[in-house]
Amino acid sequence: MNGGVIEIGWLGLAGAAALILVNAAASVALKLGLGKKLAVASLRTVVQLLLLGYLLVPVFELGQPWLVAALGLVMIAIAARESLRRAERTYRHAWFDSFATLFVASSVTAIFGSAVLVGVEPFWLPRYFIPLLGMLLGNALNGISLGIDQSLRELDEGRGRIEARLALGATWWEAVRPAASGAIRNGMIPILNSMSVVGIVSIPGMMTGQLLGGTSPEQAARYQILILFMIAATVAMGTVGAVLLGVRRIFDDEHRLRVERILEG
Amino acid sequence: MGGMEAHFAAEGLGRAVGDRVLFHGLSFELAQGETLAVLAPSGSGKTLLLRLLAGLDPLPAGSVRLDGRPQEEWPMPAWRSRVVYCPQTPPSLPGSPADFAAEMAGWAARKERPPGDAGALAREWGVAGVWDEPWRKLSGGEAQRAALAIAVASRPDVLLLDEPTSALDEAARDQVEERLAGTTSLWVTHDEAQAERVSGRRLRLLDYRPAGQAPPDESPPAPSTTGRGAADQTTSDPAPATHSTAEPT
Repeated sequence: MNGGVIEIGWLGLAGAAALILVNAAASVALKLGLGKKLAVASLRTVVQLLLLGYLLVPVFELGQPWLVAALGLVMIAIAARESLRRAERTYRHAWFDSFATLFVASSVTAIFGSAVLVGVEPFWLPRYFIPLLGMLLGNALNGISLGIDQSLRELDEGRGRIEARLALGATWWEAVRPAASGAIRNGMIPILNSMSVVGIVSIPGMMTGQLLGGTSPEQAARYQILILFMIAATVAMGTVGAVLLGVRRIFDDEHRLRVERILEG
Repeated sequence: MGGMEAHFAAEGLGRAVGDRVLFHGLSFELAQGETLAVLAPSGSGKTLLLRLLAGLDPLPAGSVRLDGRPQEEWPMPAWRSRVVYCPQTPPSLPGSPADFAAEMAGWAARKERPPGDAGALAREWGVAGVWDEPWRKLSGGEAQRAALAIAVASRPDVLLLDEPTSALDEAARDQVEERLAGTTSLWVTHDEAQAERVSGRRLRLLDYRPAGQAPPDESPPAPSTTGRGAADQTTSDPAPATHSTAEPT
């Protein structure tokens, strides 16, 4: 299907690793103390991506739907964990909520995109489905991460504002809505920003990949538009879902704000 | 006692933070139009008492009733639209007092109990000029009166007032006291003179604190309902075992 990509050998990879010496030099010269972090991050890049490459071989070649489903679930589970990692605050069952939200949001969009928009047959064809799902998850987890972080912070630090509403007869939702919508907005801003500058400031990774792979620029652009809209929808669903599930858990059934349910992240 | 059912009544309330019992075995009754002054120095648990009554924290012990109906039988938003808690320091809300009053009028519980004109009350109290200003630009005294105006105008059955005039000068304080005369309220103050002015009755919160520290195995279980990281606890034992030792002194 493509015009043949120039293959990258081991020597090429070693050469690329030499580029990291620029970072190492900066760290040493400016005493950034990033040496260890840099080494770990570089090593993880190499190991994770090579593993992924090898892992994808049987999934792509065997073409079994259950293998695609299993890999998809593992990806969602990891994304759910990542979405909570950098947050200052968390709550019990946060991982479950994030998993459920990511599962619904990403599979709805990925299946719709693959089956209807692109018209892949069968829709779970791994060459399309897995990279698609990966891109959706990577962006949705950022939205969830930002949304949960801000909403829990507002429940914790803005407790007075929420309880001022409760004390006058607001339901939990009426009291938390201003805080929740702020957090949802915050979670959706990064993808909206990147949609505004795409093609002007940056050529996105997927389009770059397709161009390198020999796809015509026009087709690559169409794919990129499609994927961006899919990402935007997934981020919206994921952020809204995660914020609503999360803030609901900090209230009890009697519309009481239970800040003790907010835990250190 | 007597023939008339109390309008608002609390029985056997208690509250502890960790192992420290702040008060227990606390009961009172309030008739329509009556003000009960609660004399409470800071740290005595006054805010925690009002939060229990307002249904903002779960009741660890005892019961609270409005018109004979216990708190847990009310939908909580309906309860709180009738038993309104007014915190000592209003939070810094987004928007202005006018915005907040308008937002409030849209709440479901307010369909049954539409709030009155808080702006008019604010005018009466001389804070009309800042009614449309953002909360964060209001001085302490202005914010306190604006928040109080919203609470009073919301037509509650019972007002729970936490030091409602602490940020006011004497003239403003007199105005507020005058206007609130005859509202059914629990009025927390640390000022004996104010308690004298607003009410014929006193409740001294420290009277309900266990005298000395009871031996650990005799002290009542202390359900913690505050503090980050504390476990969720809604269950508790009823009246504390040491109740009888805590008669007012």
